[in-house]
Amino acid sequence: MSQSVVVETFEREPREAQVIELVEGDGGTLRYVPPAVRPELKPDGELEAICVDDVPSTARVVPPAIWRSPDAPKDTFQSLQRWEGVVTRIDDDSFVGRLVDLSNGGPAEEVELPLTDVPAEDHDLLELGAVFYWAIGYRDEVSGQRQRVSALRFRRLPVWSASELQAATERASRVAAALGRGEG
Amino acid sequence: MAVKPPTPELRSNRVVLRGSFNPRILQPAWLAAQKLIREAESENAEITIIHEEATVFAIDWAIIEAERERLRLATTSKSETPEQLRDLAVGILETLDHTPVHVVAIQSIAHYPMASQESRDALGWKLVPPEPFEGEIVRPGMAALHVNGARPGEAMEGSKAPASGLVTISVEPSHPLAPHGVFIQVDDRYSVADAEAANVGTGPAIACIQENWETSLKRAERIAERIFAAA
Repeated sequence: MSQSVVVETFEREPREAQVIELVEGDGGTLRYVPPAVRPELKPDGELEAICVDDVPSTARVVPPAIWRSPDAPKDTFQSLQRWEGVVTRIDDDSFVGRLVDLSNGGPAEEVELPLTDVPAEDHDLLELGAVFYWAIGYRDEVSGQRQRVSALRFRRLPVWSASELQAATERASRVAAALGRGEG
Repeated sequence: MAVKPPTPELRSNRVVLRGSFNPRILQPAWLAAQKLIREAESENAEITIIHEEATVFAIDWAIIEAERERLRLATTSKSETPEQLRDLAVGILETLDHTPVHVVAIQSIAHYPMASQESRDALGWKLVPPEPFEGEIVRPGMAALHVNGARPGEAMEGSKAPASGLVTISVEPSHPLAPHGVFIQVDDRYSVADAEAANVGTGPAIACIQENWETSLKRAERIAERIFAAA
C-alpha cells in the first residue's frame, strides 16, 4: 500500500505539508510523518510528488491533518527609521530613553516620549532599564490608505534565568579580575 | 565603492531551529501566558492548525510553525522591527530551557524591485553567464542560484574539518514582485550542538542567536550590496 503526498514549494519553503495518521487494526494508532515532507526540497521550486512506500499493509489511512502556512497580512509596515532604546527616567506623564539607531547607526541619542504612546499591554513592562523598540514608518493598508505611524513596543523576555545570572556573575568576575579588583 | 542595492519592497526575517519540540505547547495562549506576546495578539491569532505533529499560527508580526523537529519563526509584512523576532525566539528558548536544540538558522529575505526585465536579465547573466548553455538552449536565463560556503574565519584554508555551519545564498526571480523583482535569501546556519546529544538544552542556541543576530543581518545586507554591485 502506498500513499502519495504532494508538497508545494514556494521559494524553498514548504507551503503545505501533510501528516498522515494510520490506524493499525485494533492495535492503536500509528502516526506517520513522511520524512520527505521535511524540508528536503529540490531547489527548482517546482511541485514535488513524494511516494511513501513503507506504510504497513494492515494500516488504513484516516483523514490527514493538512496545514498551509498562514498568508502574509495584506497590510504592510515600511520602516523609515527604527531605534532600540533603554528607559533611563520615568516621569508622571513621560519617560526618557537612550536610543541606538538600528537603521543607520551613529551615536546614541536621548528621547522623551509621552506615556500615552506606550501601548496599554506594555505598561507593565515600563521600568528603568527596560528595552523598547521604536519605529517610524508607513503603514500601507489593503484599502490603499497610507498612514505615517510611530510604533512603540517593549521587549518581552522571560525574567533572567539562573544560568543567565550565573553567566553575568562570571563575566563580572572576569572584568573585575581584569581591572585588578578582587571579589569584594 | 559600495553600491547600494535598490530598497527592498518586502523584507522578512526568520529563525529556524532544529531540535526536539512539543508542538502542542507552542500555542498563542501559552506565549501570552509567558508574556512573550500580548494578550490581544494571542486572542486575535490566526490559527491554522494545532496538532500533535504541528502547530501553525500567525499574529500580526510573526508566523510560528512548530513541528516535532523544527521550530520556525518568521516576521510578517506588518512587523515593525526584526529584533521582535529575535526576542521571541530567545524568549521561547529561555522558557523551554531543557529542549534539545542543535541547529540555528538566521535567515534574511528581501524582495527587490528592478526597473525592467533587461536590468534583471543583466543581473542574472552576470551571476550565471549564459555562455556554457548557449547552443543547447535559447536565451538561457538564471532561474535560481544557490551558493554556499563557510563563514569567514570558521573554515581554515586546506582543512577538512567541518565548519560550525554554512551560509547559503539564494537568488531567484521574486514571485510577489513579478515580473521584474529579485528575491535574495541569506540562510546563516549554525550547528550549535551534536544532534545526538540529549542534554544539550537551549543554552547554545540562545548564545548563538544573541551573538550572531546583528552580524548575520549585516552580512545579508552586504551580500545583497555585492550581488547588485556585480550587475
